[in-house]
Amino acid sequence: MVTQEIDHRARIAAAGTPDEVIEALRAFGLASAAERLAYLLGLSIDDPEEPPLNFESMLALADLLVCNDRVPEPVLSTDPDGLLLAEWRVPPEGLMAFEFLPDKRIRFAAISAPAARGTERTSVYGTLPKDEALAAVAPFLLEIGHS
Amino acid sequence: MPTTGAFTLRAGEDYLSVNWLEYFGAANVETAVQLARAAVARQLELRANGRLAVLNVGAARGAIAHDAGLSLRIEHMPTDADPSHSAMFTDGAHRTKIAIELVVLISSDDVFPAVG
Repeated sequence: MVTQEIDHRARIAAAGTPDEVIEALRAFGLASAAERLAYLLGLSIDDPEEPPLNFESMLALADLLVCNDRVPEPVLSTDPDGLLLAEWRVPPEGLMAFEFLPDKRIRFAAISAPAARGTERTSVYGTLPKDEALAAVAPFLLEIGHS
Repeated sequence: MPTTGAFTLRAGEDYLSVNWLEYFGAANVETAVQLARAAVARQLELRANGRLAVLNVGAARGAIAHDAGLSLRIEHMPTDADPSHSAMFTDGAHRTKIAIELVVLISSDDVFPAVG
C-alpha cells in the first residue's frame, strides 16, 4: 500500500498535462474527483468566460488527495483565477475550504457553524504549506470523517 | 448550493457584483429575483445550470465581523443596464475566509435558478 501510494504520488509529480493528473487520480480509485476535474477542465477549455485551470494548483490538489487518505473526497470547483477549490461540509452546519495556490501552499478556512447562531463556534484560517495546513484543520477533518 | 468560488474575488478585482433586491420594491423574494435575473441577463449570459443566491446584507456583514474580524462594505452602484447593481467590497487577502462565511449563511431556500 505504501509502495502504491509512492507510485501514484510519483505519477502525479511527473504529470505534464492535466489529462495525466486526471488519469493518475482515476488509477488511484478517486473516480469522482477525476470526473469532476475532467468536467472543470473541459469547461475551462470550451467556455471563453472561464479562466484556464491552473496546472500547479491541480497538481497540489491531486497530491493532497492521493497522499492523505484521512482527507475525505471534497466537492471541487475553481475560483475566478482558475485555482482549484476543495470544500467539505462540516456537520452540522460548518464548512471547510482549501484553495490550492500555485506555490504549493494552501489558503484554508474552516468554521463549525454560521456566525450569530448563539452557539460556541470554532474557526481557523490561514495560508500554509500542505502538512501544516492539514495540522491546523485536524479537528475539522475528524468531524468530516465522522459524518 | 453555491461553492466558495462563487464569492471569491478575482485577483486585482475590488468588489463582487451583486444585486440589491429591495431596489425593485417587489412584493416577495421570488418576484425580486425574477427582476434581478432579467437585469443581469441584459449584461451577462446566464447559464441554465447557474444559480442565484439571496443573502441578507445585515447577516453577511455581521458574520464577517463576528469571527473573521473583517468589514464587508456593500454599496449601490447602479449601471444603465442594471439599476439594482451593487458592489460587495471585500479584502482580497482574506477572500477564502470571507467566502466561507457567506456560503454557510445560504440555505437551500435562498437559492434560485439563474434562468427562470
